[in-house]
Amino acid sequence: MSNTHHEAQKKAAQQPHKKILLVDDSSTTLLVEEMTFREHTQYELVLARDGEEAVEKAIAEQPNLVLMDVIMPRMNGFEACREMRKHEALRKVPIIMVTSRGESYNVEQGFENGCNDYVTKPINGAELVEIVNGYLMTQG
Amino acid sequence: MISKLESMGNSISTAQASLADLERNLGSLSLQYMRQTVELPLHHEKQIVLARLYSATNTLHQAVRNGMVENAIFEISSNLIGCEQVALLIMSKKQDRIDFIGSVEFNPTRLDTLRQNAKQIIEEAPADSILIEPASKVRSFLSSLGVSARIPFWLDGATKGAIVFFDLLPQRNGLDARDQELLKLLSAYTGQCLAANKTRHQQPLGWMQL
Repeated sequence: MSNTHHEAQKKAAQQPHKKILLVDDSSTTLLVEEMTFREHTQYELVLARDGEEAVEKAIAEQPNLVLMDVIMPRMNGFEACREMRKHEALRKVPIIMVTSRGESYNVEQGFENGCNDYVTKPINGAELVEIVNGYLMTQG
Repeated sequence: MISKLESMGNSISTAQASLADLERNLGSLSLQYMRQTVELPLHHEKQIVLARLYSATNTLHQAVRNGMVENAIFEISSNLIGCEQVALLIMSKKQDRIDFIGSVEFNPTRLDTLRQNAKQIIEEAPADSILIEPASKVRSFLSSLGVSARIPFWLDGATKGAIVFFDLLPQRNGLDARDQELLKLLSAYTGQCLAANKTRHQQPLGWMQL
């Protein structure tokens, strides 16, 4: 990891006003994500356990970024992504999908539904923070 | 009659005590891993391992409480190890029957393989083997079945069964040292967690005798 990346992380960690919505029906992934961001950044976290709750919370909380699982009950990640993009305030919010499978079909489907990026499981905390910081830093 | 009832009462008390011990152990392990994770810088090489151990112990702790141990093992396998093709093989108390339950994504064509080889899969590998040892007889046997890893688990000192991992997700090019600790944890706790589950709940859907 380069010094530039460390600097970017430090800067991002000093931005407590930024809010991330973490969405996953599985507590295993959500626990890793939540602990990583809570302990190693100062972002405010909002959690949701399925697509419907994610859309509701995204509208209510107006996060700066959404990190969302694909396969979930009630509404999957792709559908939730599409729903979020219908709302003006959420149209430009970066949405990163967390997927088990990084095959091109899944990835393309994610982009078609309006997501900006994707990460594959198992989650690597350091890489995840780096990707999220990258998006949030450009928001200023 | 009274002594029989007393004996039953004692067994129940013992079971409840070991359940409480298990919950306490998992709870304190989870806290310990979380503390260690927090103390290390994000880019430390042990960070990933500790974060996964924290998540796994926490998930097992909750699963023992709500009776969803099998699901927890499959979630840990899928989300923290990167394997969706997982089977749990469980020996009966008299060791005359093997029960099976597979993850949601488990490919049913693997069932025949398991039916024919379950006993060997459980018994043949050395009791302490977690990952498949290179160049061993066991390795070639398991590899020929398409098994990526096989973890034994025990209860009261006796082999109780195995967790069998088939194909890994495409982004995983095999299991590595970082998976080892998690596999050890599953090996150490699966027997106790399943036993605790049984004292509280019915067998889950999809459970079958091989």
